[in-house]
Amino acid sequence: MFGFTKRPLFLIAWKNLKTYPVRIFLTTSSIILGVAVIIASNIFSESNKSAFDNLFSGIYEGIDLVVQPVQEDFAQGFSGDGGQGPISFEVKKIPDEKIKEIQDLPGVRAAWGEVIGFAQFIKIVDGETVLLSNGFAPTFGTAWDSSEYAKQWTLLEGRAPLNKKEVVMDTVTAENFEFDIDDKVTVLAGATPATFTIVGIADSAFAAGGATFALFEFRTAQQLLDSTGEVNLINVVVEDNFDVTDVKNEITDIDSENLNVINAQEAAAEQADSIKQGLDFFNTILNVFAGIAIFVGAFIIQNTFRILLLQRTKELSLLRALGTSKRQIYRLVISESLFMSIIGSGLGIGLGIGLAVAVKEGLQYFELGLPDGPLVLTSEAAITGLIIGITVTILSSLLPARKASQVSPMEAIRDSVSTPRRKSLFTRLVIGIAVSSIGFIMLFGVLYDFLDLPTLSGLQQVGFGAGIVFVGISIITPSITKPFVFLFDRIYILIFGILGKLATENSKRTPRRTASTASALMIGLTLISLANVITTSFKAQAESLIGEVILADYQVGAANVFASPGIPTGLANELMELDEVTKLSRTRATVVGYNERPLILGAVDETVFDLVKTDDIAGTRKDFLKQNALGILKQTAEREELQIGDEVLLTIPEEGQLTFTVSYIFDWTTQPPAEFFVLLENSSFFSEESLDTELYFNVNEKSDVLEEKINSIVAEYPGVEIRDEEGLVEEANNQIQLLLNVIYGFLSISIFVALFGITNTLSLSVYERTREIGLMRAIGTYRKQIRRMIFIESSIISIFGAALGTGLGIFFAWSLIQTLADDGFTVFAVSISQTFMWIGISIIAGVIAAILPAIRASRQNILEAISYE
Amino acid sequence: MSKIIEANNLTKIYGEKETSVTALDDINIEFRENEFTAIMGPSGSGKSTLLHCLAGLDRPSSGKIFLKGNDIATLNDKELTKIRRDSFGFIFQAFNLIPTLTAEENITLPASIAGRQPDLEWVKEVVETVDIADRLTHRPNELSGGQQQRVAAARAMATKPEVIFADEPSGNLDSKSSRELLTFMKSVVEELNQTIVMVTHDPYAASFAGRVVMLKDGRIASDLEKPTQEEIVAEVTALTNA
Repeated sequence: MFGFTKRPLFLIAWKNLKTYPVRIFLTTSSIILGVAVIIASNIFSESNKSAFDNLFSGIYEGIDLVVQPVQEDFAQGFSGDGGQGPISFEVKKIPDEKIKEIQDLPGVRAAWGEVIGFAQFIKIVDGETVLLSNGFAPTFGTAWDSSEYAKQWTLLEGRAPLNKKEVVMDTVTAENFEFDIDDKVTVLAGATPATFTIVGIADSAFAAGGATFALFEFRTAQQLLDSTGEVNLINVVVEDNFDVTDVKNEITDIDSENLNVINAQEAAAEQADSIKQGLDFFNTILNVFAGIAIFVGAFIIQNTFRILLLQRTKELSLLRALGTSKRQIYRLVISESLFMSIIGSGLGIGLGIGLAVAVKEGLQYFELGLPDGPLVLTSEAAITGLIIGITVTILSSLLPARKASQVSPMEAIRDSVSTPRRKSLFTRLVIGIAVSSIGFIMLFGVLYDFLDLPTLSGLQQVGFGAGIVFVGISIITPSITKPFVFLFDRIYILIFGILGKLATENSKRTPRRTASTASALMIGLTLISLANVITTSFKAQAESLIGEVILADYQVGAANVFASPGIPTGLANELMELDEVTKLSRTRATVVGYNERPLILGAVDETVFDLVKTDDIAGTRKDFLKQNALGILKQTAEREELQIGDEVLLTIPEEGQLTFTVSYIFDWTTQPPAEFFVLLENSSFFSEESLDTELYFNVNEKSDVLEEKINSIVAEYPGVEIRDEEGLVEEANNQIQLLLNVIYGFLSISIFVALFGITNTLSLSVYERTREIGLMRAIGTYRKQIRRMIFIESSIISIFGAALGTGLGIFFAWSLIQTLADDGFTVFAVSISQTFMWIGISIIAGVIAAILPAIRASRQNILEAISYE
Repeated sequence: MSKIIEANNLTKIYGEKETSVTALDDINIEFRENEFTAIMGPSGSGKSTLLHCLAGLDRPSSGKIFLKGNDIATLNDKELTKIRRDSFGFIFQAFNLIPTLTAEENITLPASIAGRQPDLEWVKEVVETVDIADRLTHRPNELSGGQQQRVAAARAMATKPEVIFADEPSGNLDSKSSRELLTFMKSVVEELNQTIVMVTHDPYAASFAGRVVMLKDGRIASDLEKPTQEEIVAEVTALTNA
């Protein structure tokens, strides 16, 4: 007996897929990639979240309560900065005696102090000082845990530090910079470096973020980290039979004005949460890129479906001839796409896991330490990936499925490859123009002030407008394929002769297909050139700004603002002693209280006004030189409604309240170092022990000899870097370029996805032209020439997509910069070299995508193509 | 008349051992300059295979094919392609023209892919002979079937080939177009000194040829000089019934 199946179409769909695994791969390649990016980004952020959870519970392991000093109100907002960085201000600490007091309370099993501050490992390599840090992570110095209950650090090798000549190093740093027990190492803590012997190597949850740690004997740490007789906080372990809250209240009662007691486990959760929010933001960005990949993917899936179905026209029409209804054909195709989407999304999840592992390894390779920990794939993420993959695939297959169901039963009997019907592109053109006009109106409405939509900011309106323009242009592309390719005609015929002619004609033959294939590339190139122009413009802006506003020959600052305490004052003195230095200005900063809020008060030399461009708004430089004179930034004066002559009361750490008179209001044209300014000479509260944050100086004449001399002086101060104007421009540019490279990296995924689209389209084009190519071969066209023809065709598609995308991207970037003109962005610059580089990359990508179809075309069996028997 | 193309012990076997089919069985045949030969035979007689092998579109399993004394059966794909391009012309049953090129571009296509300037005087003469001078800027889909085949014929002639191979050239045409095309082909041989080898199953088409070769089961059954249509029909009938 014959088998009977209730669902024959389902069976056919399944058999089809089983027979043609390559189809599944081609169709789903873009879905696989898109889902993979979603999954990878999700795994990445989830794993980091869980790693941060572990980190914070590790930091507070075994600790019940943490006693912190109450900071002065206005300093609270800066507590995370804890006296690090260029702004030095006094953090309140807890006197040593309090540890004993807390220890003696009933219910306290143990209490020990913690000291933490800035310490930088230094290595001398070939006479040059190298600051040791893991990526951008900070560098800390701390006291070796003095209590037997402290579980924060675990010795891996050696022993604890016992005297002021010994140090324990964290294992990551030891490994990265090849340090061993008994090695000598120089540590910069405070202003002067000192040499220690490494007696132990230890690991801790603290070090997981990549920060370097120098652990000293307790008293040594207090001395080095400017905490003699004090600790930053006290950790408390509560006896088992006591209530944690009761003990907490007891400790608070000791000195409720100065002590703030927190529950360690709650704090762990809180701190982990705040970091997680940051990670969520990163995850969002990754998801946007995944979205782009999927959006491009949808184009390609639709195209591929069309191709596959066209190739199966005969089979489908046979089914129709045998009595299958249109509806059943429709369902057949949809169920095929369902199978494919499930397999594709599944593969995507697998690839995503691989990608996450690769990214993690990659970051570790570049020493951008994120906390270690297992990779976590949440079921939500997996399901989201699956749903997105399946939905996008099925939606993209609806139109092709509809078209396939319209196949005539007669098609099976006819002996020719069907050519797609030519529908008028006119309606499309009209709709496209209408849509993009709306976008243009929205966009230009902002730029030329004739339309301001409510509830949208100018920038948002431009953004939406640009999006709508993009959609409109996407609709138009099939209609402009022919005119566009027409531009190629002459040039291509001139270069490639008849093959060029054939290739351009082919691209014109199926304008929709050419356009939708090019669109996939267009999306990527739009974003790439947008990023390119914006960053190039920013660079140009930075360059012109730096040239305009930095009048000094040299600027000295911290090499790494995240890790450095500032510039020891000795440097400024040494430089001033040089005869060649004609003018030098120092800048210092501290946090002060004003109206119950923290504000940064800067102290500068008078010369700063010659070395950095400032504009007088009210008052003059002379007025600023008086005792108790206060200089204010223009925007601060506006915000605080302060005018010349106003009295200002500032709370200065360790100094108390002082009254100043507003005497000078000015505009500081670079990134200002502070909001309020006083003259350094007049301010006794900036002690000689303070550190400079920035130095600017001029020399009588720049020369290589002088530069060497200056460099050798600066080299004696680790953590300090000197830059001239070129150096500043270069530094700004490097930061921008780094960002751009990251964006490029993500966007190249979309180009990669577009590659598959080109391959599919060309495969179809080759398939449809079986006879044509066979004929060409028969009358004497070399295989090489056939391949070349396909390559030329592919280059047309990629140039079309790249040119449109680049044009749109540049236009969008221009609009954006115009919109931001009021915020000070005035320079619009296009990097021609990078633009052409990306168009070049697109063409190369197109040629790579054409390799397989080209080989297939050139291997076409001539007889099969021309025979009729 | 001198020999242009000659096949010695030509054998073509399709498939592997048990399932193999012998399409050509040790054929020896020669074609002379300025001769219009029709190859006939029932379906499966091997007539198309013979044409394909002679024209360098297919490779014989064994035997030699000499083009003006040079063996072309052993050439590689590139050399063979060059011979097809420079020494042969082709007219197929259908789909002779590249749809995206105009009639003129189709005619000069072999010269174009060779990177040569076509001999314009000659092309003009050919175009006038096939009577399509007023259709040169048209694309194939704007031409009738007969016109398309005449453009194909003009293309086959355009490079002044040694031999023109025609595979059922009138197979898809109505009787009027068919007669026009065949008359033209005959005049090309007689007036422009071309050599044509044509495969057909149609005795009427074959009657335009000066020589008719009958194949059966991969062997030459008969070789007739200047037969009339009646003689051809009689021979075909005899072969079919044999």
